[in-house]
Amino acid sequence: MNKFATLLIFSLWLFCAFSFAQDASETGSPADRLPKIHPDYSDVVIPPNIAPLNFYIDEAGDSYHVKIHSQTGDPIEIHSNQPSIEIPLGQWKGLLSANRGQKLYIDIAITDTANNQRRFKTIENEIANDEIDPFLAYRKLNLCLIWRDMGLFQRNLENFDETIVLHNYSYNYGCANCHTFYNNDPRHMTLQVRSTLYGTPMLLVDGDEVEPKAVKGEATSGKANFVAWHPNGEIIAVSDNKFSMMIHTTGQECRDVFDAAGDVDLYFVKTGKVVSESQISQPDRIETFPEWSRDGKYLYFCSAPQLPLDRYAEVIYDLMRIAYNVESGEWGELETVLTSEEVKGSVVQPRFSPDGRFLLFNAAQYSDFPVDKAKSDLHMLDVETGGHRKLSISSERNDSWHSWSSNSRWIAFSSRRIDGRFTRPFFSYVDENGEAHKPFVLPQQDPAYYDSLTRAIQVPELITGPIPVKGRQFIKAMKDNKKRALSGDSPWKSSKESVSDTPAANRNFQ
Amino acid sequence: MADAQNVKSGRGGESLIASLVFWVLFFLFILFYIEPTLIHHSYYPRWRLPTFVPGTDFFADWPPFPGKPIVYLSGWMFHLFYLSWAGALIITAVAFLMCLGLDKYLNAISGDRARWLRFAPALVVLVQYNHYNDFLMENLSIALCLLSLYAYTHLPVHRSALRFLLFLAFSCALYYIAVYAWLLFFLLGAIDELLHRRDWKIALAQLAAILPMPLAFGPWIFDQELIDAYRSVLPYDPQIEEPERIVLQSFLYVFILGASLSCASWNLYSKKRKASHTQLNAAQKNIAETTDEKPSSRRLRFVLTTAILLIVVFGAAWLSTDRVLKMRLRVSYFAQHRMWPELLQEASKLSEHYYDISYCHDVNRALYHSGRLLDDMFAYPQPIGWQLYHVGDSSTPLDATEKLTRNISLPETLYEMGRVNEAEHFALDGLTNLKYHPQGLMQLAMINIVKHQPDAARVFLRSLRKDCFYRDEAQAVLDQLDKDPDFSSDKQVQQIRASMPDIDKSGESTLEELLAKNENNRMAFEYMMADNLQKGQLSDIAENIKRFANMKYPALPRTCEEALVIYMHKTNTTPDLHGYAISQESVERFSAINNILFNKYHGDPVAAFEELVENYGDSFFFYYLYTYVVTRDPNESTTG
Repeated sequence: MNKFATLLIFSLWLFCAFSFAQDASETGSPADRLPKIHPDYSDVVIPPNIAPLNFYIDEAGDSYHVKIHSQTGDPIEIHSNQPSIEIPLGQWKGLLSANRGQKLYIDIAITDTANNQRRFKTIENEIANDEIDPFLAYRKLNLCLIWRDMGLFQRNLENFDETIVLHNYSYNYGCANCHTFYNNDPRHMTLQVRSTLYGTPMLLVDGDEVEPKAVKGEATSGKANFVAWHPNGEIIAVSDNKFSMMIHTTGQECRDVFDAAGDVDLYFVKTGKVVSESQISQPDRIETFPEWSRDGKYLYFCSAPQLPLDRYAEVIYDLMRIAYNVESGEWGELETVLTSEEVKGSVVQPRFSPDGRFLLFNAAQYSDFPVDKAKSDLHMLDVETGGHRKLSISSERNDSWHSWSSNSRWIAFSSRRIDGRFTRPFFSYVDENGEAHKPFVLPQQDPAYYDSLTRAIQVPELITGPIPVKGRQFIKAMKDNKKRALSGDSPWKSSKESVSDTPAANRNFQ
Repeated sequence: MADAQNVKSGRGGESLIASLVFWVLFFLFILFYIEPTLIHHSYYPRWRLPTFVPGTDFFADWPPFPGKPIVYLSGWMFHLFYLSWAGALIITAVAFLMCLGLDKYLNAISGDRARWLRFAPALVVLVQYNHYNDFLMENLSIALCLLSLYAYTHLPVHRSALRFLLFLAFSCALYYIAVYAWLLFFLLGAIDELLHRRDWKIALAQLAAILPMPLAFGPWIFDQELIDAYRSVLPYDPQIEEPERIVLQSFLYVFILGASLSCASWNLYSKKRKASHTQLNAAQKNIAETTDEKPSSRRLRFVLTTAILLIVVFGAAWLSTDRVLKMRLRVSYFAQHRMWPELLQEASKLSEHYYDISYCHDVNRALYHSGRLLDDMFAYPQPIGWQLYHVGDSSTPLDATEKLTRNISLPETLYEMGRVNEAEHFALDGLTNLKYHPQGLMQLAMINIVKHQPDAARVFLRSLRKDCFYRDEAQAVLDQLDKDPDFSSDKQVQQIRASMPDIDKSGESTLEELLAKNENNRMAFEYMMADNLQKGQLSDIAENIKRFANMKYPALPRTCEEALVIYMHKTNTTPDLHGYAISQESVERFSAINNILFNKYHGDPVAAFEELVENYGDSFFFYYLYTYVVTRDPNESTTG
């Protein structure tokens, strides 16, 4: 009899526990507010191919019940004793792919130790029809002037796989500078390197090969900073800047970057020829951040007066352009596209959407290094209408280093909106009218990943696949650069001299 | 390390006791003399072992490379050096494993010859750690290599081909786990095959396999350039900058190789000799055995050899200690832990010859926090060319302890003064320079709290919370942040906020600017006055007397009084003392110095030096006399 009673009680307990677990997210006393979760994955538009948006529930409770559902398909139900919610990849992918263009709902219920249940308002997100490019390339680094631990990483956005493309451990702690892709294609990219061992080459990836390339022209010293690929893939506009570091004695940002000089040259990929033009390398102005119009007829760039360090706050950039005829190599007249007065800020980092319709740029109070400002905003210029506006998604903190997806529907950018200090990669859906929707941070397997990550993730560039070359190929290219320099074949400096003369700010900056 | 033969002959017990005594003494020597927590505090080990960098996933964020598991393991073990006893235990255990491994290997290839050689790795370990650098990774690799060889040599495999394949399997594992000792493994394996097993074909095959293996593993598994693949199997990293480290690192490697080669060769030679002189050897053996059987002489020999071993090992270890480095590290350690009395006591032991900008910084900071800066600063060297607290700019070449000061103490000093942005700049650099730098995380958290950025502070604190030694401290601040995100009830935070400069400019805030912002910034004031004293700017001392009154100092500090006495004597004027009086003691000391100098030594300061330094070396009078009155090399310091 006792055995039977025990069995009965156990069965009842199992039944109750199971029933409760099944329905907890739909029962319980409702709360008239959304649950607190982080990262903030509410009211966002997400790509149908994004990795699961794992999140952490910031509500006290004993057990957590989450139901993720949409128009069609089986809902995903998660019951956990931990507030950290990890969504199964397979179910998530199935749900998203079956519900493109639909709403995605997240119901959360919490049970406390007294077995009281609380149910929160449903979190609503939207699944876009348009996919995001499946890979993201970025720099991950410490907030330091010294290149002790930094690298170029790539992340598969459809899952949580992250791989190291090039870590500076492999080349004696040099700097892996900005990486720029041709039409979001990982098989065609440039990467700037600063190394005490191997000099400051620009590495050019062509297919599965890497080569150091010479970019020394009349205006440029051989050290490339910011580059832009011409739509024909045969010309690269290169800026050469003289950065130095400064420390602010007060204010939110302790560090800043001062650009003492900058000029733009054209590098021809096939011939290796470097072409200078006086209009984009004026001695009394700083020209930087080149960008080609999508029809390839205009070279856009940012321009500011060249001033001494003590007038750093007056170095404010306008957006300029100059016509260029690829066939004849003739230059047109210099035109001002947007002045800093119009934008009420220093216009930098112009990036055209691949369809050529919009120009996304950044505006900070001054300088061409917005990432070192406490605040900088994203702005959009409509190429058709010529109108521009600050994007509503700009935060009260720093947003910068933006890039477009190959289908022009997604932007990725670095933002410090979470904690004000560390840049994290965010994505935003941009509709056909150029309206950017509430951004969301790159999802991670561990939803608390960013909570304690004391490294910055910068320069997020969306790419259509993984970078095909290995780290050792980049190293080999660097070594080739050194060999050429030693044998006198290369105009680059490759000794310590070249690096010591590299301004401090050419080291990594957050 | 008593082997079976010894046990059978009744010597096992003695050998065991000797080993036990040796290793207990070894442990105690490491614990109390070397103090592993100082190694944990020192610069290069933190820099070399990036395993536990807060906020970094070592396996995910660092590329794969040969030997990564042993780097991780040694990093993890090194982390425990925070507790001296744990560090001593680890160092002892690793040394023991190396000795055991060498003992077993030598025993396998040469029998019971030269047993004292087995203790040599322990001696080398002591010498290594006497220089306050860390060799855990290398030593662990060697221990693993020797124990692997022991396992290999005892495998009951007699077919050459199979043995060779097994050897390759062992070497592959070692390449992945502990590449540092991989080459050693091959060379010792070849010695075993060539001189012990007499299988020269396998030995040659083993030596031949050295070349293609990095070629196969480096580029294809670890994405290494070929040259880097070969470089990684060398006994030291050619890119490291410390010659002393290269010597210490390579010595053990070469020693083991040399000892093995010698023992195996000697064994081979003995066997050949034995074969040709069997009868003679047998007679000698009988005599030896007869001799061994005498317990009194055996015991005497045992006691003597043990005593010699202990004297040699610990004597060499004691003699090889870098005492200056140890003292400097202790000062730096005390500074980090704000142990001011201990710091000042330790600093007073160090000869002026070894003073550097790091010492200067830490001593002055300790004096300030002890309330003695303006009283006793000249009791310690204050070289005229050195700044009181700054440690040079980023281009200044610094040694290891100076780097510790620049990365740990300087941000704290700047923070306490109110130069918060500059503190943040140096603390951020420290976080990367030192790699493992938990104090830096706390510094940055507090800096962000002061700057009203609690979200950023939380990131640093959550990262710090992952460190078992700092978990509670970090959690306490996090809890406080939750209750009061502005830290409005924290007096120090309020005081620092009140001292932060208003004027934004590129560079650094001067002490005058800090005082202009907050006239009650006591630290800025005392450092400014100390700076005036160091530079002999007497009129500036006189002009700032009112600040003492404003800050309610009960009396003028001794050195300032002395400066004012000289000022009054030189200018024949009496400045406004704002209610203070020059103490009789200062006036008397001035008279006494004058008396000694002019009456006893007829105005010859060189002749008077010895007597003055003995009695008045800690006074401003003495400093001023020998720095500004008597012409000396401005770089030469004047000691108290």
